[in-house]
Amino acid sequence: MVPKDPTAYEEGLSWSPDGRFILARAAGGLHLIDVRQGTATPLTFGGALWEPSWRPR
Amino acid sequence: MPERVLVRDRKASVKSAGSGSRVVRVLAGCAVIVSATLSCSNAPTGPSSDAEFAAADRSDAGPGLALVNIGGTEYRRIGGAAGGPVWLPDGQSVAFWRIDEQFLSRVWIVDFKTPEHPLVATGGPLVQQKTPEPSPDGQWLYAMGCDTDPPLCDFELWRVKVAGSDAGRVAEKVPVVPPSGHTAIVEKLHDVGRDGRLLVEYFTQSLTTGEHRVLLAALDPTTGEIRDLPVFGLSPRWSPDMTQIAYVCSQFLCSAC
Repeated sequence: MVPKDPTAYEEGLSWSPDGRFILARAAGGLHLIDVRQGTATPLTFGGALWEPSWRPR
Repeated sequence: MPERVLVRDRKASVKSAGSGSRVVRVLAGCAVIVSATLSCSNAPTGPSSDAEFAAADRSDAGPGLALVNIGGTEYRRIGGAAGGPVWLPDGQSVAFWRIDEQFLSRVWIVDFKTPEHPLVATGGPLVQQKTPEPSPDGQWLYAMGCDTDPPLCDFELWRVKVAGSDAGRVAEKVPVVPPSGHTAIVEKLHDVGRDGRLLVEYFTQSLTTGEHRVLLAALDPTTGEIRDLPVFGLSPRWSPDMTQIAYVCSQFLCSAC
């Protein structure tokens, strides 16, 4: 069995209200993505969280 | 519609400089390519750390709905097992769906002040509902729903009043006008844009050749007009200004303008 790539993206993403960031679910947890820079920051507390939805301001 | 990969992973971003990399292959023909890097920092630097999001929680505490701040310092359970949570525009209520003990899909709403309650009460206008998305004015929840008892249930596109004295008691089927010479069956509701159009996935078949496809489209819920979108992937969502669509494409995170 091939281990699942921990950075492969899965279903469920949400734009921030200002459109600058995206929360997305990778196999290893949630990522915070800077849309302009194309960088992803893993949220270390987000391992059990799925289908994020950003709260409107 | 130019497409770009927002993020893959560290390995992919390094490979993207080479002509034989997976990123380059995936993006062949795309107008914009942005190489991606995976930040080594665990501290988000962008949004305010008190920005919040709701998410389906599958932790050891059991399935539930969690409200979490982006800094990871605040967490609280605000509901039971939840799929596809979405905020209502006022930021005070979350709609979600789950399959109950009778194997019925139903949409629920939690508003922090009162316990979660069903969008449609038992005996209401829709037997089942799933994948809710609010209208921009917060007056309606669009959802895939059906008005017949299982197993004779074909999910179609509906909207249910969610505000006012008739909340949960008024449901309307959303019109869908097939493209000329074709059928059109909406299979998934993904998003509602700020202009009120729905981002849907639909099955279409030519009435002359029988050729069939599954496409993403923007659907005007007042006229039923469908406009195909030149992208396809999982979980597509418009940016707040509707100038971009982000979606999952072959495990990459992509966007199209």
